[in-house]
Amino acid sequence: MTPAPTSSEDTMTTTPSQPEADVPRGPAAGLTDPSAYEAPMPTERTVKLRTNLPIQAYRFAAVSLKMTRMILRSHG
Amino acid sequence: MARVVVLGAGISGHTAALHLRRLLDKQHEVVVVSPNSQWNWIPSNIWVGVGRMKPSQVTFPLKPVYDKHGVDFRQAKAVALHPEGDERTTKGYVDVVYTDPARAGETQSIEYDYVINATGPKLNFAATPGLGPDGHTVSVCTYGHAEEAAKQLAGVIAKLKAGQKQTLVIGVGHGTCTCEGAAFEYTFNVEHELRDAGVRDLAEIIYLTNEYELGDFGVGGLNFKQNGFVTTSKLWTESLFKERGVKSILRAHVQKVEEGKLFYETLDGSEDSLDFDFAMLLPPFRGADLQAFAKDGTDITAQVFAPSGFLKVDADYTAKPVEEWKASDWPSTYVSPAYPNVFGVGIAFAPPHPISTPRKAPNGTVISPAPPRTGMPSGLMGRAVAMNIADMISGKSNSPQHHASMAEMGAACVASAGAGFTKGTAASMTMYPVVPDYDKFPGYGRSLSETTGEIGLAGHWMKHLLHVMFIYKAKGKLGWSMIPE
Repeated sequence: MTPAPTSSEDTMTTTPSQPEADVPRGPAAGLTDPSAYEAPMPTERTVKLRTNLPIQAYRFAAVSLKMTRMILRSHG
Repeated sequence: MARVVVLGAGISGHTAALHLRRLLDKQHEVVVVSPNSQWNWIPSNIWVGVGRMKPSQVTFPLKPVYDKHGVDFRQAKAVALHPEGDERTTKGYVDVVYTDPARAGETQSIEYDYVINATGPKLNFAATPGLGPDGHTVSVCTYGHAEEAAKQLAGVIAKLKAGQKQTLVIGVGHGTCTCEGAAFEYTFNVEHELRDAGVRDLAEIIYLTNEYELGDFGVGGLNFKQNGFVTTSKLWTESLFKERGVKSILRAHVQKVEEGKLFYETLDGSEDSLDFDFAMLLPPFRGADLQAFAKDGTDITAQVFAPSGFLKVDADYTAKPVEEWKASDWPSTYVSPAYPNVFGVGIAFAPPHPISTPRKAPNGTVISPAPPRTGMPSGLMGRAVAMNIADMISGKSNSPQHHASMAEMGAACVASAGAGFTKGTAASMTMYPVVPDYDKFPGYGRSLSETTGEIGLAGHWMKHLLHVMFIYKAKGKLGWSMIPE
């Protein structure tokens, strides 16, 4: 089971040692190039549709309706 | 006659104050104590931070609004809470120190019948040596910080135009930060500005975060329906990073920052450093430095506040493993368990636990997001507490009856990723509820019909609409209370 701190904001940390300078090095630890992600790239058509005015006017209405429904539900 | 004192005039405090004034008879007093003279629509600080807006477009002075509505505004900072009064009075009171230039440094004790702690976060730059505007990084947490960020970004763009390669690091400056959504939004606004300036190819943009995966946003990630499948915010966010060529460092805690160089560790125990030309790193939050004293003067700060400085409220603070977390752990009335006339709303209340799974590096460093509780949830909490106090003062009830649990409310996050009425885009996300409820929504913890995500110009329009609408509402103009929180 994973231990659960009361809140992650409660926990401060110590300062560990520093890496040595002037040592030839590869990419920084954990640095991920975006090409490594397996997520799909949008097609050219999808990117164009994101700024297509009629489509976006429709999406604006649809997103507004969804948000309104969620807001009304949240307001009880 | 009753007096309600609201400490703080951010989204939750300001909302509570305006609703209290609307709901209470004029014989009752509403006092707002805030160290700032300006109200700030913080979500639009992102646009100030890239130079698309001026601070005057995201702020307005509070005093004229409060004068118009009959709210007593005192530009001061609350420093101590005396919920039991003292030998002079049985009423609770708050000690404040004026920040109003005309009364700077003057102290005052303000008695109350009810007090709402809406002091928001203390921007804890000190948790990471060298972090922040007084160190070596910029921030967009305040409009002043954002203005400075825009100036430095302009300098970076000038160097890029001169042919110099630049590395920009954007993200969070500590392993326990929250508001990853803001860092994500700033990343893509900066990326857009660089493309717009024709210098994107010379810039390396790195998103550095304490999130375990992209798309976590401090809420443990989202699931939503798309093209007949249930997809994840991880996949959705990774796709955007891939499309825009933004690199990332995940699961990171920044240890310290020096001029042009930051040092960090990651969840797997690795330590490294990163050179940068520009760094916008958000600070971790703490509660405001409020102390609490009993009637005899004994310091009871540890009883009233969590170690993080946030006010303990009606949450279940029992330490328990992730598997046993429940939606019911989260508070709904925001009343102090120790004092029924003391409330804590917005960022100022102590959450029972994170929403994202907490994780530690082998050396014990906590590297996981704290729960976000800004924006719409803050407004809803402020409104519910105002309604409860008004009901109790008017005798309609003798205990809080209105509830606003983050496990029973949604949130909308519109992260702009480019400017322009016809060319802008934004990532629009909605979630319901903010805190997953696996009993009510088995499988994903949230409603799949009300948890959504999409990218497009519509979101950019929505962000502008919210900007205009919420500033109008906060100014208390005609029909303000009809606009939802």
